[in-house]
Amino acid sequence: MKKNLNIIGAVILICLAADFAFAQNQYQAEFDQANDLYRQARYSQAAEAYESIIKGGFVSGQLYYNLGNCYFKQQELGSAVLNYERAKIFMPRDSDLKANYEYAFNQLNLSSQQSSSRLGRWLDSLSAELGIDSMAIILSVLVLAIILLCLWSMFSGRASKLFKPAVFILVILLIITGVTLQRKISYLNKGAVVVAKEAGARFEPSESATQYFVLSEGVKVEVLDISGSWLKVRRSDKKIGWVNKEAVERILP
Amino acid sequence: MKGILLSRLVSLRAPKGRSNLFFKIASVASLPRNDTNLDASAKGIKFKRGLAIFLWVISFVTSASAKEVNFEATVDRNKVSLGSSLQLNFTFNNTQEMPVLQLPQLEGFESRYLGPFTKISNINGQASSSITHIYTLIPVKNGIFNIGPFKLEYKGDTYSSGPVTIEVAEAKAPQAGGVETNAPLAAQDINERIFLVIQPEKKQAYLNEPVPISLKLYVRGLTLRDLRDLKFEHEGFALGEFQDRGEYQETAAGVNYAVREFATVIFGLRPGEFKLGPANLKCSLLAQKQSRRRGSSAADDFFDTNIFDDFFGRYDIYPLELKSREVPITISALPEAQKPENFSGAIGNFNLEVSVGPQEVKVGDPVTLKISVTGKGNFSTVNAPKLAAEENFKIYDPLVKQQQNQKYFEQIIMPNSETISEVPAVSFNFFNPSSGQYQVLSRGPFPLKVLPPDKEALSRIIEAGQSKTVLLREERIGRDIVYIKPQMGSPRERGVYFYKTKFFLWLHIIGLCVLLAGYVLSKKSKRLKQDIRYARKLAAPKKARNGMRRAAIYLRQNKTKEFYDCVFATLQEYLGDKFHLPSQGITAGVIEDILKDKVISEEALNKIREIFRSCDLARYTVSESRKEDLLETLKKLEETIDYLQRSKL
Repeated sequence: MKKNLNIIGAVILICLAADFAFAQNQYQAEFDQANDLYRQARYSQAAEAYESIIKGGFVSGQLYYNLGNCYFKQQELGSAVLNYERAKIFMPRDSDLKANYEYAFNQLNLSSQQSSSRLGRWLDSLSAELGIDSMAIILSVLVLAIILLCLWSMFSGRASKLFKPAVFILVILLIITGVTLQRKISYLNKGAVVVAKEAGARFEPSESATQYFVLSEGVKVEVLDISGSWLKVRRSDKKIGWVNKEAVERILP
Repeated sequence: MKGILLSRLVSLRAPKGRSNLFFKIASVASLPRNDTNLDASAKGIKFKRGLAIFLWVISFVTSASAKEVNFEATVDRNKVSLGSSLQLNFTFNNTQEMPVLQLPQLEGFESRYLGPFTKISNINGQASSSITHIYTLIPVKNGIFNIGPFKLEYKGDTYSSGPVTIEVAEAKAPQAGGVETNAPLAAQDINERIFLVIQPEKKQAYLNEPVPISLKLYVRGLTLRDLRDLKFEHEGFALGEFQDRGEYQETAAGVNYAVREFATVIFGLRPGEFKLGPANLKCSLLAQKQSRRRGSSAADDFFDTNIFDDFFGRYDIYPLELKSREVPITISALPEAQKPENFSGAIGNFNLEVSVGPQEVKVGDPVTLKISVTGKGNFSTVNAPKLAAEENFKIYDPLVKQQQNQKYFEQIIMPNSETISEVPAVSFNFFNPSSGQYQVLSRGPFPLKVLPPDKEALSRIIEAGQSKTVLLREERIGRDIVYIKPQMGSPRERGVYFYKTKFFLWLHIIGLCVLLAGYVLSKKSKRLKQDIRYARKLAAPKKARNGMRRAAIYLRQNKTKEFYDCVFATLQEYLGDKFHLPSQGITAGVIEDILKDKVISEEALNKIREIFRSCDLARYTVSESRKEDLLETLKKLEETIDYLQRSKL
């Protein structure tokens, strides 16, 4: 009986792995076709092909990166910045991505938006080098390390001099990682990029409302609220206004 | 608080019990107040403070007397009904000495001189002094009367005041509007004695042009306090922060008012015709409970500054909400005619200063342009001025600093070639709302000597596997995006992140549970090691269960002696562990001594006695025991141990 269960489990695992490999191969084939279109400078068709892979439910940093390149070539720099932002979630340390991202920003005459506080800037630079999954894994490892260290101290009966400093350092690291992860999650959940050439931020969610300020293409904003087809957004200088939904796109769709 | 009080120091010479106000204020300003047993040091401090205040007063008197004396004639109200009186004040500012002016016969009035009133004050660092001669006028007929101008000659100088208009009518009902109050002032026309006014510096302005506005609260003959919630309707305008300009005196239509002014700046956001206001202000009105002292002048009623004059018990507080009238204002768009091509929206009247340094650099070295825009206007519309020719330089974003009337740009530029001989002119254009024209300011060009770069600046490439260094000329680097990625990488399901998985959640929950369980176990283990009594008590039932199991085996095997030995040992050991006693010495007598103070049933005690007795009989005599007796003994043992466990002794 036990032997049979083992066999069934193994078969299920093999089926799942095969299914995943099949899906991966299928998407890689579609990805190759999109790359071919890009090579032929058919950028809009290539973009559509990349988008269809994303709609299929599977994504990767390379996919968003190539899609960003397609938009860049079509001078849709806001959409290019948006897709580079999405690619950064998966491959934050990729040098090609960093170069293209900065170049797109330069083309838009934008400077990178930094936090006003020194601590905020430091946490942002930390999170820029780590993906969201990496941070979650580091957090879990730190939690387990603290738990194991505490259990060892409780049951070994030996009061090591290094125990308290080690736990203190691990707790500090845990707090830093936790705060950074929380900021990153908040940024991804609330973050959006202006994809229109120009978007007027108004005092009220209405076309007839007074325009407060103008958001230029590629600018990153924080979405605070939604009302119909209007989004309440906050710019990095803390100015808040309502913009049309079509003018901005969220980083996490 | 002390500073405010001292700055409002007022000395009254004449009327009605006010001559000691100076001392009242000085005492509120926390001067030491010991009764009879002042020690020497306290006396010394008091003397020094008194001397300082005296010198301060003297200095104000002398500084105030140096200014030109002016003469004002004012009345406390312009409208009066027959049968009531009004107050006429002759105020001589910047002096403390002026004789009484003998009033001529005034048409329509009878007059009576009340006395002089002198004042020294310091408002916002401005010292002033004055003397006011106060008269009572009693109207004798209806009509509109112009009294004055009045003239006084003193020490060879002639002083003249303006005329004053007074309307005398039958008594009338109070008018409504402007002020909402519960104060018992129905007999007075309160709107004439307290009102709020919006005063823009101009009523026509251009888009984004800063327009200073004042909100003035005029008060006459009333005492206000607790000014709060200043609100101001400003649709179509951006509004700066309000600044409190403080209090001062102002004469309007011949009537003297105490004025509190708030100032701010507005900017028109879109062209069109708009209305500023109404402005709203909440405050509290102090009104005397009994009859109000006649003869007080407007100068006495500076908002809440007289509240120290026996305030408690003599005043009632009434909430007031003041509302100003709306003021129309027109905002015009900037003219399209003659608009410079690169106009960036700056509006105001500005000046431009530019400096360049250093003036001798190598190719690729930084040159700093310090650009300062000063003047009056909307500095948020001022952007960094443009260089006339940018292609020869690499230009970085400027560092921007903004102060009240200055915006400062520090721009780094790098020359690309040694052929450059100057930094091109810097031009800045703006719209001047005073002249209604666009203006262009240009500074430069500035001479610059550019030297060729050092050889070290050339790129060095060390070829792999070779030790020789190859020098290459600096090359112009092209720029474009990096090419696409050939591989898709590791695709993953969209929207699935590790932190969102159940595994992540359970990993932390289980981890924390393990930590908690470990803590509890370690505490228990530590106690078992350290607390022998606790350890024995905890182990007693388990040991007893094992003993009874062994006794049952002996019973089945008909080993009577071993059975009783086992029962005896089990009971002895259990009681020893339970009551933390040496097990070997425990007998029925010992247990009775221990349990006599505890709540235990006689039946259980009897069972213990019987078990010990049965064991002694079986172990030390040769009598034969029946199997039923053994069973009975074992049952008693079980019941006894069960009882002792449950009774928590």
